[in-house]
Amino acid sequence: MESLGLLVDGFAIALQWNNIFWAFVGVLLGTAVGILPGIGPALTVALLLPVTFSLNPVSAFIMFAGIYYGGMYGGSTTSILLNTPGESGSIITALEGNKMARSGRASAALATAALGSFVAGTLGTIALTFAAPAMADIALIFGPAEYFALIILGFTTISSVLGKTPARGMLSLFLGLALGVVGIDLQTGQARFTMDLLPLFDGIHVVVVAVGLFAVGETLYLATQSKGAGEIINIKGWTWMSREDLARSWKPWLRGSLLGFPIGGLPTGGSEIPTFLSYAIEKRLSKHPEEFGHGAIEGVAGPEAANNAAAAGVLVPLLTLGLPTSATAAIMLAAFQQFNLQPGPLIFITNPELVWGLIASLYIGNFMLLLLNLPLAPLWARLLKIPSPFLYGGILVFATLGTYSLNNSVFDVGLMYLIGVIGFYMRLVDIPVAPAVIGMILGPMAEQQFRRALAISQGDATIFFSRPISATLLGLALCALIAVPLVKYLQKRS
Amino acid sequence: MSRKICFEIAFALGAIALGLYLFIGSSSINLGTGYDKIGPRFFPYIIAGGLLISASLMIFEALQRNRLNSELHFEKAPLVLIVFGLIISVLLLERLGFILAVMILFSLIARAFKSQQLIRDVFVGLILTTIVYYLFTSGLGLVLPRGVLSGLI
Repeated sequence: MESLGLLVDGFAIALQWNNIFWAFVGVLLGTAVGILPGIGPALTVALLLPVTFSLNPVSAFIMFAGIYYGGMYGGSTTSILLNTPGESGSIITALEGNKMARSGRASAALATAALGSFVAGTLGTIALTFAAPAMADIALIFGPAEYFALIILGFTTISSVLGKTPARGMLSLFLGLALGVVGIDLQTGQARFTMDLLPLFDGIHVVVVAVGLFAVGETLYLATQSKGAGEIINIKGWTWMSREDLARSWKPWLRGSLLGFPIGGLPTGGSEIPTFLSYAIEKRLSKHPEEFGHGAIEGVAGPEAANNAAAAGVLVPLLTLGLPTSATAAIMLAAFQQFNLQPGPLIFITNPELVWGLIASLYIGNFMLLLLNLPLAPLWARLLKIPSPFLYGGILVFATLGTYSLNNSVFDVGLMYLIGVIGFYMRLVDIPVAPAVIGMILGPMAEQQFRRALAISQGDATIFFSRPISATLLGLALCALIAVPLVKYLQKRS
Repeated sequence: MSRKICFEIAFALGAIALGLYLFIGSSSINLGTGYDKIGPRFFPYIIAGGLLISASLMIFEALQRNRLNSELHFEKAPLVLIVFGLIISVLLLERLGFILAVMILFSLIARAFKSQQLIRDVFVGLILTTIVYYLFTSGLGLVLPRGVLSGLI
């Protein structure tokens, strides 16, 4: 119950006028970028890093958290009205939600998505309030060996979950790791793969990579696919939802939240699995299974709740272990590092005002998002009418601006463009880009922990297997590595 | 062999080349001095190995899937336009300045997205980059290249 006291302190911080302002800016921006196709919370936070450097870290993270949650709300609007899921968590929402919208029930779909996101976001944040300190207590006994093992577990699960095949996920991960190794080695001060280029001695900034992959890569991909703009469905009569819709929605919301938070909190993270599971469960439990595939409200309510609860779950490993499991979380970790903060169990002791202010702001942000999205959905939907030549031209304006202002360096801009072209190629051949971003930020941490662990054990590599937690985590990593191909092989045989 | 498989193999070969570069390059990293037992070469070796293995696996997969699967598709014209815009923007960012260089990039991207109104796009691009320039320099204290406009702005 200590958490409650700390949470009250957190609210005292989050309810300061300037922090409410930043939370509002965050949710506003988050909803907008969630709605706009081709731009998401990861890219937005990355672009804002240089701008927020002068801001107080508490306010900056309150804004980032608003963007993070807001992106989830906005993403569902686009999936429902345009049938182009912005991120993998809203694929299912697009499936049923767009069908509902086509049959004239757009407002019910949007309302159940917004309310479900609110319910799940709030439940997820409550779970975070209690799970995070508990997890941080456990993490306190983690030494370098355990951290290394945990990162390896993250690597294996992330690369096998994201991407069509594990080999592609791994390839992306190793490309990210390779980028992360460039620069001065932290332990010995030796230059690695800098090709004698001065700007590379400080290493490649994660923003350069993320903006390249997400902004330039995505723009190139969309420009070269002659699909044409999708049909935007107009909202006819903003009626919210009927009593029957509500009766059919509330149970899926709760079930989705229950599924999403724990799965999101695992080192695998990700929102695909909980949304797919939620969809399958709702289809089985529904009294109207025949409606699924033609616009069943349960098929929007459940997965949308699971998606938002998973977003809250992802914050548990990020805050307590410093382990990001999504691209946005990886950028948030980079933001912590920019402010010389290292998420992990100690941050709960050294910077309680930051952690608890952030958690409290999630409650406030969620509430703001409900108010912004439920009555104003038709207004937000107008953002979808921005012509794509202007939208993508504009994205590149901001991408160039954000990357240049990292170090006032044209070199960074050129590198970002180049990485973007590579990212476009990766999309063409179905290689996921998120593992590269995560690998890039976690790689140097893995190396540091690995070398620290061996320094402690005086070079004895058995330290990773003789400590029970580390051995278990590495065992799980091995299982994850074997399990996915094995399951696929067995499926093929049967 | 379908075009997609060729592209996949080409990417994997690129990754293999990178892996070999890392492998060879690792041996020339200075070891430095210190208590460090592992040294700065160990991780690059592991990453090089990982790249070689995963890229080889991808080639193997690509050849195995040689049935048909989804076909690779992209249009060349927008690709050329945007890449041209990127090159212009990076080469001229400091000479022309942020406003003009990025305006050119904006117009070329608009063109790549099938806009036919070049004059309108240039105009919109100019307004956008000018607003962004003042917002982030005067408003937020960033420094952006002024270029040829340095007397004017």
